[in-house]
Amino acid sequence: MPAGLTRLSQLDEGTKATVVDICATDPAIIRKLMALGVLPGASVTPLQLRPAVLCRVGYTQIAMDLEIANAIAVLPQGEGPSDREEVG
Amino acid sequence: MVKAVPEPITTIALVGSPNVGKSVVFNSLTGSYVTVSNYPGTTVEVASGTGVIRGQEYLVIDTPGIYSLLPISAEELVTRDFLFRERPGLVVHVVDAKNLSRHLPLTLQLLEAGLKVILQLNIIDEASSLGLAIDDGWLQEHLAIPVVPTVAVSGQGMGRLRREIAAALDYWQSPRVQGGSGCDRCRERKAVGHGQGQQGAGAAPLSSIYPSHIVEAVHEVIGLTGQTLALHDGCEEDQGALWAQALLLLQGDEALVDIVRRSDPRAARLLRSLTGKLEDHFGGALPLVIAVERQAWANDVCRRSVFEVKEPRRRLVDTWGRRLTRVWPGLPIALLIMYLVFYRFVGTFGAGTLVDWLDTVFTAQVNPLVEEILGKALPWPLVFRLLGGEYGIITLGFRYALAIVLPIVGTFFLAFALLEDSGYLPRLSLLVNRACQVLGLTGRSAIPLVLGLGCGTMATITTRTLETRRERLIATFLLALAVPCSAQLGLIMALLAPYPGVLLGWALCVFAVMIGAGSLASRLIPGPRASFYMEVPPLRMPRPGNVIGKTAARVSWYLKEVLPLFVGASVALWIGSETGLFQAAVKGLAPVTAALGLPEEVGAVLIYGFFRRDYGAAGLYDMAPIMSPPQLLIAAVTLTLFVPCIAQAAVNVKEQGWLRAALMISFIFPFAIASGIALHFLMVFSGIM
Repeated sequence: MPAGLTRLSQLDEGTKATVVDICATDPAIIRKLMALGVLPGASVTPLQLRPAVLCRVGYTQIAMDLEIANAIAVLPQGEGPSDREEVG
Repeated sequence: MVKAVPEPITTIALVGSPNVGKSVVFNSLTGSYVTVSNYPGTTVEVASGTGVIRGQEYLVIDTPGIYSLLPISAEELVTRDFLFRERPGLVVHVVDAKNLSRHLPLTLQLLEAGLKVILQLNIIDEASSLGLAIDDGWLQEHLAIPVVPTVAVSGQGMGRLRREIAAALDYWQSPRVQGGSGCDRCRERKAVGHGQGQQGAGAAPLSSIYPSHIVEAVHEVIGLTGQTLALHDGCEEDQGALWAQALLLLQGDEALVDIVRRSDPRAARLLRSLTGKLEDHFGGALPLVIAVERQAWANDVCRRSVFEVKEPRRRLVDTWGRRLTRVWPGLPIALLIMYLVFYRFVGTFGAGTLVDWLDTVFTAQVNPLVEEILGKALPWPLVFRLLGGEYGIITLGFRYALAIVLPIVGTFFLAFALLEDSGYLPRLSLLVNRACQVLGLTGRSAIPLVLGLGCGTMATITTRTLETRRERLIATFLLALAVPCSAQLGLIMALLAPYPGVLLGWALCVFAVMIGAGSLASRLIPGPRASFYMEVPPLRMPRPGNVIGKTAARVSWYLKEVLPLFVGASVALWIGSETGLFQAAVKGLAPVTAALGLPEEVGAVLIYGFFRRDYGAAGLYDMAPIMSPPQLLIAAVTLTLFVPCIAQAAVNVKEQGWLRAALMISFIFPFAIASGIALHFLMVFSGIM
């Protein structure tokens, strides 16, 4: 696995990351994520992971369960100070 | 021979994802005669109304929210079908301006499908407060469609929207643009300029967005399936629709693939192999590949038209919005809100203060007046009792409906509308998602379940928004079994308020039943586990107009549903009492009430409960003085678990079918009685009684 590639559910809160792929076998999940803007190339920042995942995609906030977050492969962009501030 | 054909009224369709303010736009464009009806062959509701713009009348349709033409749910499929089959004269694509890049792919799909589109950048005020400026002039030129920024709730920009709508329709329906053709529908389709390389972003240039392999594949698919699909739609082939449908077929759209497979299995097989080859070539699922291309186009357009001109204003409400979704302080706040809303507002104020006041008015003034007038006007005691006696339509039916139930339901719906409009509910869903999973549900079901605390009938209808059949069934079952509606809730709380221990006991019993029944149901009912995903809109200040409008609509719906049933119930009870049947039934229930440890008269409450649970609760309220606290607990628990009211049962049948509804009721009824009996024995055994 390429260095740095991880899953959305494994990221630290506030870490901006780019979506690389959606590794879900269920096409319905892929469609839902696409509809919510979670696409390869999209920038996503998890704001919290418990009790459910809440992440920011663009100017929208999306909630999802851990299982779906597990299926999203991302590449962290490194800690951005402005995002850290916004968390919590 | 020339037949005079009346000008078909032009249809304007409002299309967009949920949470963009479509219904506000709809209300603004339509004046009156709004009807909500099921899309033919489905249970999905579509609102339509007539609007007058510049003196011309139009039919405006508010379609179910949609993210993409590749549908995720039955509702989305209805929108998609509607767009392809009815081919509205104009589509207003309502988007949330700050998320333009996310919505543009749908605009693209609409244009690809050959529809005439106006892009409405709604909620532009939130974009501004985030420091965004959108060059709508550039967008208009680049997309070659009208682009109108608006704030629909305040009316800002709506005048311009109306002008653009009128202008667009004028243009496309002018004689020089009209082509002669076959059927009326095709006439309208040609009139909006399909296949004429219309609007810069017409069918030809749009295809350059996709890699050549896909473009070739689309042409191949059109060749394979074009005729089949056109035949199915009952219309001539239409370039835009063919292109769009071919793309959908390549992405594996179930509904369309099914149509092709049924009429031309060979084409379906070829389609499958073509899709397989493409996916091998691109190394990924085609829907993803295509979505990425569209998004790249959308991002490029936004890069050139959306600019961050100043730092986003950090709003207090956003910080709080973030806090609400964490267990701390989110969960305590949620409990606080529930307490304030249900116990204080609906319970103490609605069921206590308002009911007392209204009920006093009724018993002290209305009822005696009615009895006096009727006594003089109607010499027949029988009829007198029908209207004004113990079970009189006015003295009991109306009194229950207006003085007892209405204030409670009204306060609940008001509170719910406030929560809804503020954007709090999705945050609640997030918080309770894990807990809901125990019941086989997801956080999304929090909304119907909370609404069930207002009116179980309405909540059962709302279960349609849940994703899987299994979720819908479990939620419907729990609503029927353990979720007390607001009238019941308010009355029980007012009833048990002097005995907080009993109130707590009641809440715990009902809650325990809900958890037990829910987890059992989730184990027994087969089906895939639903996954939780949901858009969480920003927290907003509830808008008084919206809140009052929604409350008024729900209250009037409830009155239209309740009042006839109460009248019916009081007639039935009147018949029962006149014929002695009612008294006999109460006597007949004596063994049951004895087993429950309750006075014989409470049998009447159980019978009321058959007609409406809240009716039963109101009856219990009247009978409270003759019961001890433990008896109140048993009665309250039994009544809460009792079968749903007639209206909710009817909706259950509609949503789940006769078999499932009957199974639910035939479980719930004995279960409620058994629970009460068990509780009775428990209390006797532990010495409380």
